[in-house]
Amino acid sequence: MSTIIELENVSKSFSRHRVLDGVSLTVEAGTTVGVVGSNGSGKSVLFQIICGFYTPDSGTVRVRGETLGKGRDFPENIGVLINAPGFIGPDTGIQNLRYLAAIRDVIGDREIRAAMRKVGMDPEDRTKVEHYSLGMKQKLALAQAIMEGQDILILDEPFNALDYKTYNDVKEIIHILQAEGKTILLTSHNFEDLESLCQNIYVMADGRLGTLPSEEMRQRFWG
Amino acid sequence: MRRMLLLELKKLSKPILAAMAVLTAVTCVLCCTLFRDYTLRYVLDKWEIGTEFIGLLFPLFVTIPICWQLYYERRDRFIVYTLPRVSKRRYLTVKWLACALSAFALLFVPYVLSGLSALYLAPYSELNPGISSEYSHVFQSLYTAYPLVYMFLLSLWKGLLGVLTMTFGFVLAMYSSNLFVVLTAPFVYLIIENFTLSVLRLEKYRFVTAFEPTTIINKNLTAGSFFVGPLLLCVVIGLTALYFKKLKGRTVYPL
Repeated sequence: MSTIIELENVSKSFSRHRVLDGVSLTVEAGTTVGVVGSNGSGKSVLFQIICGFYTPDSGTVRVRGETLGKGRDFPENIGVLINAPGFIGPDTGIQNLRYLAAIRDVIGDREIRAAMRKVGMDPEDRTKVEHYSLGMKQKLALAQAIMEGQDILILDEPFNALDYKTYNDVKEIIHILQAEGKTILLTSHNFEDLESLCQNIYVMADGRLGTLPSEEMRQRFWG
Repeated sequence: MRRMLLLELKKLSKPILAAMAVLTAVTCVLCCTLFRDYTLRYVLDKWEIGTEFIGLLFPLFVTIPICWQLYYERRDRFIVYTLPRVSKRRYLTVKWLACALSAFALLFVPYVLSGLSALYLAPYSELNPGISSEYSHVFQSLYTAYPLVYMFLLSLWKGLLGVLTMTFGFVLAMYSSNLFVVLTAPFVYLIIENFTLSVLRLEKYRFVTAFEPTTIINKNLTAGSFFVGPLLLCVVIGLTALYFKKLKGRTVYPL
């Protein structure tokens, strides 16, 4: 297996508050890696740095061997699901995906519809996104993350505030994506969310990244 | 770049075409009817009379149908999903370009079509060019001898000033969290600027004077009348962006 994502000693501060403190991480292609931690621990910032949304104060981020920030703002062809997904409310789900797909223009309507079906959505549904439930928005966000055939998926809190059925649906979709050989990075507050999905689980606390938490740490952080 | 520009223009097309159609219809009708109560000196007087109201309301015409979109893309966090696909600078540049083209068309098309209506469609009316010996008009020889060229050039200039006014709304949409402020601030700014410069007896430097040079007596017009107002607006736009970015710490992409 080859290394697809590599972080070396990455640090990031906002207004003198250190959010990431010397984080190093290696992700092999085709694996699923989970990062668990409480609110404000730095999980989302870590993922946003991998996506190129933020530039680290120090350290290097390499995706597919290319270092971010050196003539490259963001990694090519990665699927991103941000915490609290957002779309243009007065438009339908497929219209929103069409807008996003047209930016890179590598797929057509067929692929968009296929991605929607894959996450259990009906492409013909004329409901406006502003009337979607949180679970439907989460599925639409997953559809935009996979529709262009992205091989790396960064999913920040994909299970956040979902009802039991949608939670299981999203978990099932992630299983399908794993079977397709995608490299997936996930975050969650809950260790149990990640346990059944990830080969490697890291714990994030106070801007530092540790390996799979021991039983003692699990008790301490999540009871 | 071209593909993205077309996409952004498509996103704006419905409100722009609707606003343009309404504005064109209203100005054409006014240019063909409103002059009846006036004494006309030259044929293009019909156009000036019929389009006078735009001089007051144009900041609303170029911001309301255009700037709401960027505001909603930010508010709904849709703009964040563009980040893995295109760089911030490129996306915002293309977006501004689409908004600029829309704002330009939104003023240029109604002005030109209403000008053509005034010149070629409006009912005949007696002209009295020699009614007053003290008559003077901005670019008078062009206005009287080549009305079509005058109308076309002034429409072009007004379109460009429309783009500048829209840019103020665009910058506000990039940072502000209040839609009302985004859509009305350019209009409010021009009213305040108009009032302040009038009180200071500097009417010739108002933005409205640059937009509608016939609002003041022709002999008071200088080259500065066309540039000081727009330059002042550029400074205000820059200061607004600086205020939101540096003092309020706002970002365009709500991560």
